[in-house]
Amino acid sequence: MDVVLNMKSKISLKLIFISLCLSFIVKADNVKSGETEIDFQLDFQTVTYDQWLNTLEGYKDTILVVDMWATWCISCLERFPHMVEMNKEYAGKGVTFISLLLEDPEEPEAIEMAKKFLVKQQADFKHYFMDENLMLSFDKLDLLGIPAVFIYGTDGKLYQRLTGDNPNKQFTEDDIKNTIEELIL
Amino acid sequence: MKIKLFLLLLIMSLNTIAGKYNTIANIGDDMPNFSNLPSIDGSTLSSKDLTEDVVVLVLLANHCPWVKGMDQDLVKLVDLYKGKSVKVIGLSVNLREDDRLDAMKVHAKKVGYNFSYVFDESQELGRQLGATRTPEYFVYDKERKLQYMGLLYNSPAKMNGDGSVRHINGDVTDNYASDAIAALLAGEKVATPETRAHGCSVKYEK
Repeated sequence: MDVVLNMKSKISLKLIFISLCLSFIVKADNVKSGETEIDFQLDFQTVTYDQWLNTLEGYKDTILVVDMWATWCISCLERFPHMVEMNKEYAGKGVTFISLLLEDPEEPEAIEMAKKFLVKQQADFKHYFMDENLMLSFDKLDLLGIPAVFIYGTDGKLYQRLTGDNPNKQFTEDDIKNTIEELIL
Repeated sequence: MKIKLFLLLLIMSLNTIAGKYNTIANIGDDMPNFSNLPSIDGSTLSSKDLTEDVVVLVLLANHCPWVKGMDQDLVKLVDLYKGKSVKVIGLSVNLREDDRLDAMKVHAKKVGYNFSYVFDESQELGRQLGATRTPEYFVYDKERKLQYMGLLYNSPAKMNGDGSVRHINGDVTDNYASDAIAALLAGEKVATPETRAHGCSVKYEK
């Protein structure tokens, strides 16, 4: 709730209008996952790169953990359940988890697949999809590959970039947790 | 004297700076030595045995949709330089079961790989190359100096679950790796030495 209030106070009316136009809540009641039916409301929003930057502004005053992923990234899918678990683990501790989906905007079926995956995971945090040319997204994020996790401090500054961009500096879930713990202290 | 020393140190430090995108390798670097990498044909491959004027190392991963999407274009690239002094070596570095040697054999047969395909189980060659994505190309000249690294071309292709292939930037207009090979065979400088590779991440053991 704090985050929502903070967003309301800091994001311009124009941005809110654009966000409202572009965002939508996927009501995923009764989505079938195997034999069971999942009652889960997915919070999924489409953003351009500039809107993404403005969105990050709205998460100041919280430790922000951004998981960058895609359905074509097997490692991302394998890691995602850990993010869901960590989101639960750090609930109420001033840490906000969000995800940023990096798919080709010209492939709506991949985006639908991503939504189904998130529902199945019951990933109960906010999800964003970057509506930019895929290579351009990586370029603008100065990112070579995913999975990648960016962690921002409460001052809104990027505190840690956990990527696989250097073969000798790979990261694990422990690195994510250690960074969060450093920021909580 | 101090200024000269400073400039010398500066030049030396610049020589050790990694590429624009690659965090380890830089254009002009020597090709890392490797020995006895197991190949899908049962043989082994060592860098000392390479005699061709141009050597292409390409990072591959059977499971990766960006590799599957460009597989046939890689096969065409090899065909294009058939009879020329070019050696193309596919390199699998991931340790997941579907990227290991047995799976490499199956995948190579299925898609018709027409080049050496070896497994870097120690991941040492991949690390020395600074290779982090599949596919990712490294093109070396006769002196085994790195002259190109990055994309095959400017519109990476992904294979979807239904087998369809889609290039994310439309039709290919720049064949970076092929142009680099052609330039080196002609004794010319490579016009675009480095591009940002795009694809699946290579998973290195920490």
